[in-house]
Amino acid sequence: MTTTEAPRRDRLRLGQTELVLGVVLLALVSQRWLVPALDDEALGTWATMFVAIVVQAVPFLVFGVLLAAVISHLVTDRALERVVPDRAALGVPAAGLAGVALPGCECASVPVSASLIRRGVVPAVALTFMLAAPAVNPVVIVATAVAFPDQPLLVLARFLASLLTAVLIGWLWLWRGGRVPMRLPRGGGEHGGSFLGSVQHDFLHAAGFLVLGAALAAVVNTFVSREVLDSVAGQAVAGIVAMALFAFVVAMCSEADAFVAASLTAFSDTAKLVFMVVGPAMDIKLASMQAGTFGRGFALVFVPLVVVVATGSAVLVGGWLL
Amino acid sequence: MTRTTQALVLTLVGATLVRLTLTDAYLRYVNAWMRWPLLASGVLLVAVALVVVLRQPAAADADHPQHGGHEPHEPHEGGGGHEDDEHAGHVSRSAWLLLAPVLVVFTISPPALGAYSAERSANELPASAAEGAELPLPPSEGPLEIDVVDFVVRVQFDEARSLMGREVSVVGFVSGDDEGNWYVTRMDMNCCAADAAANRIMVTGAEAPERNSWVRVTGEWDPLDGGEPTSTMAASDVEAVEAPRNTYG
Repeated sequence: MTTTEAPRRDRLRLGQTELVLGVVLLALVSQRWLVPALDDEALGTWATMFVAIVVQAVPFLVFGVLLAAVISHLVTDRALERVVPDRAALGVPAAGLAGVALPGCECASVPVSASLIRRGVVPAVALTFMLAAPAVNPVVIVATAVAFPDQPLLVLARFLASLLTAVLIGWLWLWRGGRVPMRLPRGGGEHGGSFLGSVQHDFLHAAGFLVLGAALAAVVNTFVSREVLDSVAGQAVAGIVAMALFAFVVAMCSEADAFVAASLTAFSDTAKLVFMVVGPAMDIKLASMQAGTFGRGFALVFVPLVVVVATGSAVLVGGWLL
Repeated sequence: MTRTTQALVLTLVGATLVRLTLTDAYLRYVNAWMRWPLLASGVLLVAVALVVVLRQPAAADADHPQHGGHEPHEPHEGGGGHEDDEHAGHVSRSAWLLLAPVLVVFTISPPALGAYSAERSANELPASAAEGAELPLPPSEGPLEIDVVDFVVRVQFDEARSLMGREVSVVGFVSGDDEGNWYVTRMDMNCCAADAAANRIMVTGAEAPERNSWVRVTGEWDPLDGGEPTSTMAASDVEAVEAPRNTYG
């Protein structure tokens, strides 16, 4: 996992599977000594919350990944092109709404929008689709409703704020986007392999980030003292900035992030909304993928712009609905 | 990560989910209705991993390095080789993190939330909890068994004060506070254990049992002379009980 492993990996590759299996079996066998040895209240509480978020989110991730694989095999870029109107100003909201019907993880939406641009779709329209698809699709909406069972307004607010973000960015791009350097994506790409291969790939990819987000949220809930947490979460601005930063850094999958947001009970509903609107639109992993796909000059403008617009939309919609 | 290792990690995650569901351990972490979704996704993950492994030629791992070996021969500008991983069916290094919850379940075997988290988050009632607080308590012979959350909600929201003078009994675990008081406590989860809040009733008139042990407390609401109504019970009896199958609620 660290860079120092990189040169050794080639030699070790054959033994990798056995190594992983060995470590897990060792843990399994030594369970009866390890469980009492690690019996610490704070650690146990952290572990419970960590496992709870992962366990709650995994079924949604599995379902989302399966659905995305089915759709990407059934709906071609060409079908999508036909749905998007020719007039770009109308194409932007249409692309935003097309995201409702097309679930896919963030990581998939970057190559999909790149291939749309390659096939001649106006960049502003493709970028709108890229921002909307992971944020407003049915799997995400259902996951959010499960995470916040008593707050239908929060679910609606998430949908509206994410759609608003995608459409605003699209229109901004139509207006001023020509000045931003954008490398036209190269050919190739996509997941190439079989249907199940892409399911396995997408799941492993998204689940890694889910684990990271769950671990950090559990740390905040368990180890950060209640006073510190309440003083950050209690101030409207500090809470919102903290949640926007958290969303950017943990880079969670949109199908799982509502469960992490719900677990941060100290924060206001608007701050939770900011987390759920910024997260699917932009984070560390998306920024790095976009720099690689569209060029660094593009990312330097696009990434901060999306973070600011997404935070603004969430605060606006949150102030109105929540 | 090689294809085979990917499949192994997927299998481990799936098997862990299945094990948690079959042993009822999942009730420590999520709501009871998650049973079938968890079981289904666990089985699916294992099945996907099996099919992917069986379909690939035996030598695939050695002949087609899935990771790492890719980077040297494509040194184009920008962020470097990492982005290529996203495209070509490779899995980024973050996938290794997926072993963490599996190992945590095996080595720590995280318990249901108890006194530690209750003492950090006491009585954060959602506004929706007020629903039902106006219902009159049913008549009963002897002490009426009610939920801890029911007691707390009635203390805070019930204008009719129907708890007044009734003998009730509640079941929960024992938690404490800095001032040496003790409470009969239940964790109440909204969605999963990570967002659970504690409902607790202070118990007076009885020695504190062992922290985190499960007890049934029988007694009457003690509204504490005149001031703000507080969730306090004057106990007439405290007995040790088994922890319920689902400790939340």
